[in-house]
Amino acid sequence: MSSDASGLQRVPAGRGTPNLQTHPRSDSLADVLERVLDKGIVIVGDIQIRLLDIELLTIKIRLMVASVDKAREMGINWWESDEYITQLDDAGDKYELSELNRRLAELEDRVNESPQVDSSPTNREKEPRGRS
Amino acid sequence: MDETIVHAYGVVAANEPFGGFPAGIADTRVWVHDVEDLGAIVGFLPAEGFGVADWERNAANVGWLEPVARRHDEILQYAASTGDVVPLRLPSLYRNLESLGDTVRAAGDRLERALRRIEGKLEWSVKVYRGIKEEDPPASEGAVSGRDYLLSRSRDLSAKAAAREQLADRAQEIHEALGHASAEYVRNQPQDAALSGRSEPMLLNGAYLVRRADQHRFLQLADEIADDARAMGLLVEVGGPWPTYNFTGDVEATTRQVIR
Repeated sequence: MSSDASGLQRVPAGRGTPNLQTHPRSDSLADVLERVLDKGIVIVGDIQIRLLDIELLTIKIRLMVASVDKAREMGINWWESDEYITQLDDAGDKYELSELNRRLAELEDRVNESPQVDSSPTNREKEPRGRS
Repeated sequence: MDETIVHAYGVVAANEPFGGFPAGIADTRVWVHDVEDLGAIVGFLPAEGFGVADWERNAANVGWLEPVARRHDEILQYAASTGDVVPLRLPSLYRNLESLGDTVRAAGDRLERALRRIEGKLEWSVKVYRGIKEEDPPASEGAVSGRDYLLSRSRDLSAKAAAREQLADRAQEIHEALGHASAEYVRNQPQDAALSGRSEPMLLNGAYLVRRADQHRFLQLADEIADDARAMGLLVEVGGPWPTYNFTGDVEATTRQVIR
């Protein structure tokens, strides 16, 4: 990391850009992981792991790298026995799907109920600013 | 090499002069594999060592992750120095070139949209740190009453809070000023000190999509801003140019498909 005469600390990261100073590249690991794991595009189609798991894996990786040093210092290593990482198995997937289905059904029920709720006089009194 | 898988780094327009890539992950060869109007920057990796099981096993292993992530980024940096490239996110594995081709074809519209969005542009990062440590109020000279001490202590604390707020506001102003010199801009979560390696608190972690032709202007502006900010005790750090990681990701959610 370098500092020029002005107040700007500059960390050029590329080649072929003649306008820029060419200090050796010194991006922090945080910068690289932040971008490579969390940003960019995903064109997952035929990847070998299930997509839901990939998302979880990616997110977990990001969470872990963000705090891994600190956590290790404190003797925390929950991820080593974390089920998302150690057990990317069918059982977990099925559980997740059934849980999602259950929540979806619950939401649908609520949507179906809502007209009755709105027309109920007691509810109207309770929520004077609700939809009419 | 026994069994291999395909690792895809990024996507470019076909028939562009991309080539001469440095060695990719695990020192493997990297080239552009054309898929109709698009080209995927790819390499073969040994299935043993970089397959799904390895990703799962090494998810928490920064020692394994770091060289993979850095090489992935270096290849994209190299491509971005030649032309427009849509960066792909890790993990980015395909069984073979055919399955990669199918995937790229299926996502073709989206990828072309992403390419248009970043056409002729690169990403810069600007971080703002609170540079000076807050000083503890000097101990009062001589004996003071407990009441006076508490009063002055409380004044000091609210002055500190006000100063903090002022710096946070300034960081937001910096973000917006740089944003006006950019095609698009986004504010990310500040990085954890453990990974940023900086003890100063990070007040701004911004990413800016800047036209290649405007980069010099953008850096000059950042330089001016840094000078002003330093007087307030803020450190400004500029990094880049980056592949456009922060400006190609938002379309993924709508078109992701689950293929089992």
